[in-house]
Amino acid sequence: MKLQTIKIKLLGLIVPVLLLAVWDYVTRHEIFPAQLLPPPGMLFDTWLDMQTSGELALNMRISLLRVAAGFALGATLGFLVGTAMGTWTVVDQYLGPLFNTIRQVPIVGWLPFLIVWLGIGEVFKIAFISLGALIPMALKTYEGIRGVSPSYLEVARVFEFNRFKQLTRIILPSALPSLLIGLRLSLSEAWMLVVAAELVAASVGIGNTMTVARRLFQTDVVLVSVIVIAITGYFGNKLLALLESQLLSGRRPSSAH
Amino acid sequence: MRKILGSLLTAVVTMAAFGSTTGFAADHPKVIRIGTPSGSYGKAVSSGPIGEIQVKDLFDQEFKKDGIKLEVNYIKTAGPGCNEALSNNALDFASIGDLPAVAGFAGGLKTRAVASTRGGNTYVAVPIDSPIKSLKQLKGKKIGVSLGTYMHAAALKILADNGLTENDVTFFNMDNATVLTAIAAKEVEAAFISSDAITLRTRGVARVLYTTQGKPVFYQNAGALIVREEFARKYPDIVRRFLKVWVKASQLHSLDKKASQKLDTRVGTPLLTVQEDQAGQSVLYLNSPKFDDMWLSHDRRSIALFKAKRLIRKTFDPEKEWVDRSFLDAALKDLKLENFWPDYDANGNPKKK
Repeated sequence: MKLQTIKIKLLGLIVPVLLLAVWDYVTRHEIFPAQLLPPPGMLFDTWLDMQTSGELALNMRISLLRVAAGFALGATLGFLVGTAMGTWTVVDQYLGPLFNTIRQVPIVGWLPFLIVWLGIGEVFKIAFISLGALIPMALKTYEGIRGVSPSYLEVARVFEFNRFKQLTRIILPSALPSLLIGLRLSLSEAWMLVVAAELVAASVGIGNTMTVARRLFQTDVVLVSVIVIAITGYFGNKLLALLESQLLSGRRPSSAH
Repeated sequence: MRKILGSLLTAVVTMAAFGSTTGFAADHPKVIRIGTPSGSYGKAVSSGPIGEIQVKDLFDQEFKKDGIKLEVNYIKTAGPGCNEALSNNALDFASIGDLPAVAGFAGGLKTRAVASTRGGNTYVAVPIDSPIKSLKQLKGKKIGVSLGTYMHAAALKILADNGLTENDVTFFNMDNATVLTAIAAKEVEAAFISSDAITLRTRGVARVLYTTQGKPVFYQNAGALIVREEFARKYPDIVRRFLKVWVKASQLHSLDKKASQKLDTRVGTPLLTVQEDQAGQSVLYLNSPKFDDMWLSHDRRSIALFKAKRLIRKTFDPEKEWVDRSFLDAALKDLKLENFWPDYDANGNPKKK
């Protein structure tokens, strides 16, 4: 990597490091009570303890599995819904208004309803996460398909492509940038929702770790969990961004962004 | 522009520096705020000592002349919720169970235990048509329990007696009111709850699989009246006088079991439930505020258990680091009640003088 790129990447670390220094100072001099804001040193010790006891790995694994399942299901369904609405005007006319209304409800608003319907087990959690993952994927898929350049569609008409060929050879490849953004948003939503679902009704998982720690006044465990969630989400996002750049390398920049 | 920014910055820094104190100290607060777990029936009244204080106006008798009011806060999230309220200075006192009181202090909450509380059985309830017939069958089941409360602590002890740990079951965190509906709706397969189990049994909604009644006192709750350390440091006289009110209330509640139980029903618990729950226990014992051997040994054993179960991350010596008897002793002396309650030994029996 060029020195310039390294320098730019390091810029992103400056603010966190400064915040860490201020945090350490503030807790060391008791400007803020330690039970409300544990010192960074204590958080490191707690993290180490949670790591060595296996507690962190166990709970993160469960949460990640839930995210994977919910994301896979939700993104797939979202892709199908978005494709259907984007490809066939009839579908868009019938389903569009309903879809746009339903998506105005913040996903956590569905919690009580889903719990009554599905109970408090895994089915409820996966359903909840999938619902959240579905919507951004459906929207972005729809956008991507609708945003295909008319000149490409001309080409398809000239070559007398059938619907299926039109979709797979022209439309979806053209919509790829939107699809990939949809995947990123979908994953991000799934990650946030797994924690929400676990805060409400779970017996294991990182969200549950936070709930139990809160009940036991272990502010340090809560904060460590929050930081681990944030960092994991960040790297998950980075991974998808890498996939995106690989798949889209060599393309001319399009209007869809 | 610079001047405005400058004064804004000063204001922000000043506010941050003074943290979350509720105002600059007069020589006494205008209100004393005490927190207590909200009852399962949602009524904003109490049983026990706080109930006596409310019914017999004991607080006003002591504090009306100073213009100080009592504010009783009913916390839905029970002991853990009281800890949070204490930590952001929204409460001055709290009367909570053993696990939340210990967990709060071990977690860095700066409190002092100024009076003991005791009694409080835990029951294992299952839906009425449940196939579960023994505690060992709880393995692998979904269990509702209010995590961080004395029932959570009791659950661990009860499970251990049957060769199970919390990893052998699936705990779902539910507060008092929610868990009752959960059992009725069969959303959970079992629950560790208070004497509400008796009421559920009477209504035909649940079966009681087990109760800590008649078991050694370690299975019961042994909580505390705790005070924010900062409050006690600022207003030691107020705390001393509040303890007088508390001791007087405890004394009144210790006199006549029948009358006390009738008072306890004001929270919505049926009288038969109260009677069954307290059967065989002396009303004098149940209302002793003293830090006797029973309480201290219960607390020490609890601390060791909680540390082993990773519910707390550090241990402490309750007598040396947490309990402050001075206020209680002064109150007992003032009211000439030093010998009203016997000291109970580790098994809950009165010690011979």
